[in-house]
This record gives sequence, C-alpha cells and structure tokens, in this order.
Amino acid sequence: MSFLALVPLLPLLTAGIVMTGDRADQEQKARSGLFPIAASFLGSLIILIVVISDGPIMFQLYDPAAIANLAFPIGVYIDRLSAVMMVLITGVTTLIYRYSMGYMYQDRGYRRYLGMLAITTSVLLCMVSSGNLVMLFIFWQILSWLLFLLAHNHGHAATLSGASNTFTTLRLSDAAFLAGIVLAYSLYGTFEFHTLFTRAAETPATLSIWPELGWNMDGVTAVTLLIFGGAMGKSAQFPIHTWLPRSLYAPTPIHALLHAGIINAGGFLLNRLAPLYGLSPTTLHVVFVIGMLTAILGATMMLTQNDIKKTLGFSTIGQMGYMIMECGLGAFSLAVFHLIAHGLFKGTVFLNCGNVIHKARQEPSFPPIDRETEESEFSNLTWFNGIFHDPLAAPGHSVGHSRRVENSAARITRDRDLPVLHLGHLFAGDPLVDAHSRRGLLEGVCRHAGDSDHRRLHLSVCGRELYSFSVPEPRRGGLLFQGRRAARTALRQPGHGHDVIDDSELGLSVCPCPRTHDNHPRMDRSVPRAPVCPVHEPAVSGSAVSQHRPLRHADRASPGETAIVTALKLRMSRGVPALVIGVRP
Amino acid sequence: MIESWMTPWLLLAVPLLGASLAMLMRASLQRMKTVALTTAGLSLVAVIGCSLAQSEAAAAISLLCLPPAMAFLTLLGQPLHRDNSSAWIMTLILLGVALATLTSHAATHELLLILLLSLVSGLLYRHQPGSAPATWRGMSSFGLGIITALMALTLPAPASTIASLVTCATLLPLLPLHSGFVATLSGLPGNLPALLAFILPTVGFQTLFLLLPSLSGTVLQTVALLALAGAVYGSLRALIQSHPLPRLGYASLAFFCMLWWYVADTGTAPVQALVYLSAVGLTTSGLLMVWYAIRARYGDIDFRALGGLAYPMPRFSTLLALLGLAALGMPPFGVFSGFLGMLLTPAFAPSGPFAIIMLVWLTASWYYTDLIQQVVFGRPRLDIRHEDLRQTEWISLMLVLLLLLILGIAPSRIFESHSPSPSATVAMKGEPWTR
Repeated sequence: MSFLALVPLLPLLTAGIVMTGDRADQEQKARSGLFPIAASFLGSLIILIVVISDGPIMFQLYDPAAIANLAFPIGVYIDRLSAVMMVLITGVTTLIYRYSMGYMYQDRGYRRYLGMLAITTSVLLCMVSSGNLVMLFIFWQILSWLLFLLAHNHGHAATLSGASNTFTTLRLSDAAFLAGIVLAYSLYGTFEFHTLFTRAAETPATLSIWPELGWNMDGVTAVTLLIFGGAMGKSAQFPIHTWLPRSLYAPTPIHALLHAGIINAGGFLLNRLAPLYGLSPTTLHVVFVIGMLTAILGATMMLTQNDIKKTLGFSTIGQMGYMIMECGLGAFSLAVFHLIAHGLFKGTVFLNCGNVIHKARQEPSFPPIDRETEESEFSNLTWFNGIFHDPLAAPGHSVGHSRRVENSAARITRDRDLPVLHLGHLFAGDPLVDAHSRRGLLEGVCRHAGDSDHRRLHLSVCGRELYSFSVPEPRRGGLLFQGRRAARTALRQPGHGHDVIDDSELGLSVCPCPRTHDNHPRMDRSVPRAPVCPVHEPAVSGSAVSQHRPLRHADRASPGETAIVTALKLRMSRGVPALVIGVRP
Repeated sequence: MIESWMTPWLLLAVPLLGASLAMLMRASLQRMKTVALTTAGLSLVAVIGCSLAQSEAAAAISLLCLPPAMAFLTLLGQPLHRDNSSAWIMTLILLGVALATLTSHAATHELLLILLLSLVSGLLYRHQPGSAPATWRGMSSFGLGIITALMALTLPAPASTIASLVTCATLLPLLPLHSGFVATLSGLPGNLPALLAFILPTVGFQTLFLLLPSLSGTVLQTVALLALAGAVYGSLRALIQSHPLPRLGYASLAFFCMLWWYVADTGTAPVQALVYLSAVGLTTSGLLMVWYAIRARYGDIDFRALGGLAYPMPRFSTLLALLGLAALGMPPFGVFSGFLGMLLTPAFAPSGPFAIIMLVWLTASWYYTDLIQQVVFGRPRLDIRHEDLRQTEWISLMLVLLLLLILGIAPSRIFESHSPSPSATVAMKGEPWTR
C-alpha cells in the first residue's frame, strides 16, 4: 500500500495543470485541476481506512544512521493522526478550490492563486505525513513562505506589510523549532519519532544553561520548549499571534484554508510529539499557560472587532488557545478532536464570510437590521453553496435583480429624502441590456491589474472616477465594465433603461477631496478637477457645491450605497433627472 | 600523469592564455566574450582533468569546479558593452590565480595569495569612486593581508600560522578585517563583484582548511569571539543599509562569520561546512548578478527607489525572490542544508553562543525579505520603462539556482575530498549545554 503515500503529491498535479499553458482556457484547466485534488481527498479517505485496519504506513528513502549527511531525508509515516489530518486538509481544500473557481473568477491572478492553493495543500500533506523531524521542519518552513505569498496583494500597502510581518514572525518560530531539532539530535542522536521518544525516556539529559549560577534544565524540557516555540508561531499563540489579524486582507477562501488547515500545524506538531511532551511536566505547564492566555486574549479581542474577518481571526486565535491549553493538560486526543472540529466549522464560517462580505459590498443596507428572515441564498450550508450554488455564474442570470435594485434605491432615497426621478432598469433580463450591463452602462473599470488592488473596483459615472471600493468578485458585483469608450457609447444610447447622458456631463464629477482622491491608485491626475465632490453632500441642497460636509466617510457606509447617493446628488445638483446606479445583487 | 606541482601552473596558464587571446579580440566584443566564456569552460575541463589525473587532490573537486563555473555564469549574463571588456579579462586572470592558489601548497600558495590580493587591491584602486573611505579601508585590509602573507613566508612556525590566519581573514571575511571584502562587493564594475564574492571566500576557506591542524585552542577561542561579534555586526549593518550592495556585503559577512564561528567552535571543517561556504558564496554572487541586471537598466540606485517589479519583470522578480529565499536559508537550497548539516555533525554541541548564531540566522529573514518585498512587491514606479531579463541573464541566474538546489538536496558525501577532514590539534570547545 506504499503507493498511497503518493497522495500528498496529487495536488501538485493540479498546480501543474492550472499554472501551465495558455491563459485562454484557464477555466477549463481550473475545472480539470479539481480532479487531482478530489482524488487526493479520496486517497486520504482510503489511507484512513487502511491505517485504521492495518496500522501505520511508513517507508524511508534514506539510511537513518546517516541522516546528517542527507540534506533532504525523505520518509513517510502515516498513522491515525496523519491520516485524519490528511482527510481534513484535502476535504477542506477540495471545497475551497471549488468555491474559489467562482469566487476568484476573472481575477488576474486566478491561475497563480489556484496553483498556490494546490501547492500549499501538497506541502501541508507532506508535512503531516513526514517520517522524521527534519522533513517535517523542511515543509514547515516552506509553509511559512507559502503563507507569505498567499497573503499578498501587490497593490495594497497594508496587505504587503501584513504579509511581510507574517513571514518574519513565522521565521522567528521557525528558528526556535530549528534550535529544538538541533538540540534533540545533539542529545538523542536521532530524528525518527519513535526512536526519539524511546531515547528521551531512557536517557535523561541535563543542560547547563548558566554553569556559574548553577542553572540547569532537563534536556527534554529544553527540546520541547524550543519546539513549542515553533508551534506557537504557526498556531498564532500569544505573544506572537499578531501576524494572523494582519494577514486578513488575503482572499477570503485562503483564510478558510488558513484557519481550517494551516493554523492547525502547531497543534499537529504538539500531538505528533505528544510522547515527548508527556515526559516534561514543566513544558506542559508552560503550554497550558500560553494556551490559556491566548484563549482569553483571542476571545476578548474578538468581542471588540467591527470587521467580520478580524472577528473570525481572533476567534481562531482563541480556539487555538483552547486547543493548546488542552495539550497542556495532556488531553492530546481531545485537542485533535477540537482541531478537526474547529477546522471544519471555521472553514465553513470563512466561506460564508466571503459571501457576506461580497453581499455587503453590493447591497446598500446589508447586513439588514430590520429583516427577520435571512435571505434564501444564504440559508444553505455554505459549503454546499460553494460546491453547487454558483448563482451568478451563468450569463443572463439577472431576472429579479432589477426589483432588488429598485427596492434598494427606493430605500436609500426614502431614507435620505431624495426623489427618485428615474430608475434605470439596468438588469431587466433583456439580453441586449444585460450585455450592456456587463460592458458598461456606467464606467466602473475593474482594474485588478498589477499595481492596483486586485479586488478594488473603480466606479465612475460619465467617464469620471467617483469612488473605488472593494468587491470580492467583479462578475458577481455586476459592475463589470470594460473601457471608457464602451461606457460612453452605451450612455449616449437611449432605450437601455437609463437616462441619455450627453458630453456636457462628462467633466463634472472628479472628487477634489484628498481623502477619496488619494485612495484611487490609478486616478488620472491629468484630468482637471471640478469643484464638485461627489461623495460629499452639499450643506443645503442646491446651494454652492463647494460648501459641503462629509456624508459617508465617518460611518463607513456601504460603497454601493454611497455610489447611488452620489449619483443622485450629482444629478440633482445639476438640475437634471437622477440616474440611479443599479447594483446587481 | 600530471605531477601535483604542475597542477597550479596548468590551471593558471589556461585562463591567462584565454585572457591574452581575449585582449587580442578587443575589436569585437562578441568574439571577446565568446573567448572569455570558452576559456572559463576550458578551465572547468582542466580542473576536472587534473583532479581525475591526481590520486590526491589538494581540495575537493567540487570546490575546484565551482570557481570556473561561476566565472562562466557571471560572464554569460554580461551585456556586450565596451565598459565591461576589461572586467572580462580580469575575470579570467583572477580565475587563473584563484585556481592556482586553491591547488598549490606552502610558499607557492602564499605567493599566489599575495598576487591575488594585489590584483584585487589594484582593481579597487583603479575603480574607487572618488575618495570613498570604504574603498581605502578595503585596500588597507587587503594591504594588511599582503603584508601578513609575506610574514607567513618569512617567519617561523607559530608566527607564520597567525600571519596566515590574518591573511585568511581578509579573504573569508572576519571582523575586523572585513572591509576589503565589503568594498570589493560594492565598488568593482561588471561581473567582478559577483565573481569575487565567490572566489575570495573559497580561497580563504581553503587556506583556513590547511591551517586548521596547527591552530591552538587560544587562537580558536579568539577567532570564535571575533566571529560572533562579526556575525552580529554584519547582521546589524545589513539591516540598516538602503543600498543593496553594502547590504549584500554585510549580510555575507554575517553568514561567513557564522562559518568562522563553527570552525573555531568545533575545531573542524567538515564537508557540510564546504557546502555551506559554497552555497553562501553562490547566493551572494547570484544576488549581485541580479542587482547588476538592475544597474545595467536603471543605474546605481537605491533599492527603495524601485518597486513592484513582479508584474513588469516577472522573470527577474521570480529569480530574485528565489535567490533571496536561498540566501536567507530556506530549504531546499544549499545554505539551509549546509547550515543544518554543520549543526548535525557529531563535533558540534549546542552551547551559549549558539543562541546568538540562531538570532543572526533569523535576522537574515528581515533584511532579505525587506529587499525582496520592496523590489518585487513594493510600490511600482510608473515612470520607468521596464525590461525583463534577457535570455543570457536569465539562463545564468537559473544555473546559479540549479547549483544551489544541487547543493541543497544532494547527499553531502559527494562533495567530500579524498583527503580526511582536518581538525585542530586542540579543538576549542565552548561550555556545552549537554552534560
């Protein structure tokens, strides 16, 4: 059954399929890439069954006696712990991959993202099935680098800073892990798990920390403390938990994988070395205290967040604290159970979180405060939503959306006491209109290009940039507009459910407000600015437009809402019928 | 059959003939570069031939093969420009002298060391930017190396050993004699910094390898202290540099000082140390080659003035990121495996200073990551027209990465020489943690 040990390499096949070849057929390749990942999930299930019935699978491609001469000692050891972790990782990854196929659709880094996801999965699988400490450490380090890459968003300064912080923090724990490995080898002369446990139990060793002062430490305690330093980094334990909240700008599906799989690496490491930790009560006490502090800190900070991803991120920190605390109590089996349960539920929640964020960015008043029932498309289990429910994937799927747009716009205008002079039925289901809705009734150039945020949508009215905001997926946002020319053409043509707009309006709405203006990474600075601030409300309707006060910055309104209000205000200030920007749900 | 005394002269003669031929071809840069590349290739063949012909080589064959390979790779990525032609000829001359130094013994070895140091000092003087104090410090450091090499030739045994060690410390940088090495990386034109970043430490390590059996415990203790101080100093200086060349210089000082510390602490120079040395030299050379590609396009600029090259220059960015990873000690590249291999040898026992070494190792993650982050993922400059790596540049850097990968994943026994690894007569041991 040794061929089953090749299961960790299957996701690499996905990476090969997705990342090579022509970009034109990337969707086809992405679909093909799902099969090796799904196969690795099935393989992991088979491995679990085999391991339960026949015992651990193991093989070595090196001589354990000469391990120091071999830089990359390849060996596989899959016991129940590894098999369960493999099932968890591959299962979650399969769902995340399928979900990401829709969620990241049309993103410029689509192929790279899917490829990196597959490579990360493979590295995780190799790590949990490592046959010795060195191999585990090698994949542990590669995982640190992959986390750095996955948390990247080139055009967003905070993301870049967060990614860098993630890597350097994880390297700190990697260094502690390395020191632990070296010390373990120095004391016990082996990297093999079982031999290490046996020798550590049979050969007590003492370290002189400071001989002059007589400070000594038990060898096992020193080794386990150093290795725990490594686990603290990956599992975001206090005080090196800071990387996790700072990396939350990464695509949401990545966080599903991070919180369901990668962050469990620390817990896995402690459980893998549980017999060694059992020899050192001191380390277990330290583990318990650190875990408890992290649990309190994570849970407390979670309560104070106003960002859904940060709330979940601190929740994860708290849960990891619980899990580490359980290890500190010696309840390793319970910790594994907790690890799996948390991985499953947090993966689910994060995928759902992606939907919620996506929805909130389109729907002006979402999350609803006065609605008693949840919207139907959110009531499904998100994973099934991720697999089977891709409601906006098909072109022309817009029946009923105009009603929602109308309702949203009506609600906003009612709240703001604004008359709706005209509502453009931008998404009326007519094929022609729908095509135009996709190509540019309004110019919202989705510039997910190299130097801009890959999730930032630049919304313009009449050829002028009004506002930029983030959307999880341009296609789902319904504001997929390509090119100013297409927009102008569309705007000049009547009969598509919107106002006819002439060229006299094409120079009115550049925002002079530095706060919004500077946030536009690719704002055309050569365009002369008009004294109209489209995201500011005139103090008195109809008065001089320069006397304005901030309308929406302070309370962080939904960008879609702001855009609609902006457009209304803009048109009102010119004394012409308002154009309502329809935001497709 | 080639006699052992003939080897250095043969290995010196091939590059020198090539350099002479290249000088004759000065009218055509293309021909000149072709001759230089061919000569580097022939030197590699000559090294392999000499090693196979001799039953007992002075140095490991892998150590001898790498200098001509690096000369070839650094030349390969060079653009055809008149300003570079003198650097190509000097590359061949330095290669010949380095190979001869690596394969020679006793007085010849010292004389060739003097020649090598004189050549590098001359190059520094020739290319010093204005009255840069760093260059003068570098020339002073190499000048001291020349004097101590002369002393090693004339003085009796204990003093000559110390003198040779000082010479060695100017080549394989050790605080406070690192200035020459740092100035070489910062101040020389063309491919010379990339070549010398590999050649000088290699020659220095070979000298140290020969000296090691005669070093006393006190000397090793002193060296270990200097090495620890140098590693910390190099890391801190690398952290505060905004220009990549001094940053790479001080970073490599830190990494080479870690090697010094290991050799002094254990009193041995196992094959893993050779892997580590070669890998650090290769990564430094590779990063210098990468930066030369930037200099060729945008001039000698601060790396913070560039940014966001991931999209406009994807090949460059990928290779820079991979080389940066290799340099900061990520698997599966040679620096990681060499370092881990050194720590896993039986001669090594973790002691107090090991914690400092681990901190130095960790610090590399900051300054190399910062470099990669800024250049590859930083704020892009829209006013600059970008051009990705040309074919030759790309191939040369790919081959450097391949060499690093081989060093990283190949069993270390394939790098062993026929002769046994030397060890100090009195191995200096720090207070071990284990008892």
